[in-house]
Amino acid sequence: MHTSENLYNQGTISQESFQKIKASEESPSFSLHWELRTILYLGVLMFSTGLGILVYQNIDTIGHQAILAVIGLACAGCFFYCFKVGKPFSPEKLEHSSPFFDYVLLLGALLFLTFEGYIQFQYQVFGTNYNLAAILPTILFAFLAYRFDHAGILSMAITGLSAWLGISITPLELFDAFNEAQLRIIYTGEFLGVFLGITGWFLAHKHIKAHFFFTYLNFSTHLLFVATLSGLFMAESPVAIFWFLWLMILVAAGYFHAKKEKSFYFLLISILYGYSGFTYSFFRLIDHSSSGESVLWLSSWYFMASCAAIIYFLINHKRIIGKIFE
Amino acid sequence: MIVYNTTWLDNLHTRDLTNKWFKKSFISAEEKLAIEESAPVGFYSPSFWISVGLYFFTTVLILAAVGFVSLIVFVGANGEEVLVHVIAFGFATACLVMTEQYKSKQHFYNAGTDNALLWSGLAFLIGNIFAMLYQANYNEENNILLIGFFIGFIILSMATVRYADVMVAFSAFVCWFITIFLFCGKLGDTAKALLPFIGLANAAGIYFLVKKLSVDNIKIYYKSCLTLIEALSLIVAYASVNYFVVREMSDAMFSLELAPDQDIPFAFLFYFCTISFPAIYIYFGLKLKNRMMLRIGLLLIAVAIMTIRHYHSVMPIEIAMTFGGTLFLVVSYSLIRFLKTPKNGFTYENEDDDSGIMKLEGLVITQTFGTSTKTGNDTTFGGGQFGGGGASETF
Repeated sequence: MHTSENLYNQGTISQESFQKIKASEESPSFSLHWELRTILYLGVLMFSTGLGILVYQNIDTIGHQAILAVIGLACAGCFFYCFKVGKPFSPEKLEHSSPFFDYVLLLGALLFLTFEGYIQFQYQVFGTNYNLAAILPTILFAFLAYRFDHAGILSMAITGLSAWLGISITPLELFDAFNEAQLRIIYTGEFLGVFLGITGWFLAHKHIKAHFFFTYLNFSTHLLFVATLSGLFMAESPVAIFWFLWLMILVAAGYFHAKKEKSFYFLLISILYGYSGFTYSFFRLIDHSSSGESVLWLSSWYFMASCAAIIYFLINHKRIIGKIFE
Repeated sequence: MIVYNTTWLDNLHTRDLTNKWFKKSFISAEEKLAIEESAPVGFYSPSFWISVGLYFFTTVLILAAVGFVSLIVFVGANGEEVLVHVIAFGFATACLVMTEQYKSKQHFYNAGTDNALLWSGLAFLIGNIFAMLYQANYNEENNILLIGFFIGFIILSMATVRYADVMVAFSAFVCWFITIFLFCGKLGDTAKALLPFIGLANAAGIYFLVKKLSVDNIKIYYKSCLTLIEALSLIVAYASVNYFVVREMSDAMFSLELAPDQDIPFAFLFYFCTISFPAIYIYFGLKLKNRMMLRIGLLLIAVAIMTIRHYHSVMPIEIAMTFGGTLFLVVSYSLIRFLKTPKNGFTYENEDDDSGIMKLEGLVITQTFGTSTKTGNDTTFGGGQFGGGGASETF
């Protein structure tokens, strides 16, 4: 029960450490960090939604200019606060002194989007030049993300960049984006995935905000795999081989990155995407040659054997890959 | 009783504590290393994502094996129903024997594979008991569910004691309350009318039983199960006396067909409980420094507000949101300010390692707010689904 006392009696920890532990056990401190943060976040969400609906209902009496002015001023106010209070740029991770800093920055970014969408909807400021409308927040957000060290804003910048290229990549829409997609979208996805991966790697290599690497790589990996699988599903038989090979290269790359960074998240998603593609290819191959009952037999054999192989690999992956490279 | 090596479970607990101490810099890195050397843990429990993968592929493997065996048995045989039960019991036995093997001999500890085997084994076993009960007497359907859930509760409780698995404990808890519910339904109108209080008494009883059990070794070995049951009993206690639940339940059970202006008996009491329970939870959560009770209390405020709003529209939703949002902002802002220097052991200082949560926060922000500006006038979005490759096609 009294682990610390046992350890002290065994002589594993010093008296000084034991005193510290004992003091904290007798009067434990209780952090309300996440509770308060969540309430704050909910407050921002509820307040902005409620106010948005109110404004929408009373648009006739308030008038567009007045609303635009308020949104614009609030947005400018947020950014002004950030530049005034924020610490100067550093390539390392920044810890802001005020716990509200991140939220003010986020609020400013969201207000900017609202402002831009509003003037475009009401006054068609950008006309039909949608490209400009999409790239503007991307550039601003990328700058803000690096200036003030905010991974959430960086995600918004990346999402904006892909929207500019015509792909919607918020987490839940990623799978829909490539549905019924033309080849152009698939190639765009491949290009963007490679671009994000290389950018993230390059910046991390140069030690400029190295902790952003995960954000880049997460977008990059999902984009590349979904685009490649879409390519594989769409391609005619001879071309499909190249898509399959590209998929396997990605899986291998994902595996070695995961191994290097000890990130099991990337290991798992590489294996899941790879397995989906492999299974699809397998059944596409046997589809032509056999039919009916034999397919049932074959598929139950296939799933038993493949799953057993992957389970064996997941448990023994260090040993297996180690052997190949020795 | 428990399948795991208890020395290792103790050592695992010691290591958890050590990590916490080290994070708060109570101990030095050398001391941490020394403790870890003196407390070896021989379990195979890989990292979270690997376990997820192992769980997924083991489940698919079991399903494929079921398909395979069914093919062997049913191709040729004229679909005899006994064979279904034989196969189900066969798989239940095989899965549970393998669970026992993996956990006791190979020392798997929440590695994914052992969880998948345990859950499928229990699902085969209990599902098949239900199927057999239905086949045995389909004239008196009413008792089948009661008996089935009670047997399920007993099997799942025994499995919880042996394997200390959170999901199994959860299922056992749910089975117990369904049993209580069905049993009261059988007893007649008085029991049905008293159901809210029976539910509350049961939940409270379980809560204090868990508290009583949470001593010494049991507290360490069954930590996650006990925590879960504690949380569930708090939630069920509230649900038993929540006005919305009571009203809708009695509506359904007594076929009252209440008009909107009619009310249930003792409505005042249930309104009172609906509002006061979250406050009580928050008060005791803070007083006893019980984080879970506090969080559940905070969540239940939302439930209480929704319950009241469901029957009485105090103000339009947008005004309520604006006011509520303002209130939340003011409260959280002033508390964060207030707790900048710790008061009475409360602090705003972040004590957990939150790098994972920060990454998650980024994703949540992108999903909830997103970017509304899309160029997409030359592409078609939406519709249809992406089936996850061939895996789903053949099943």
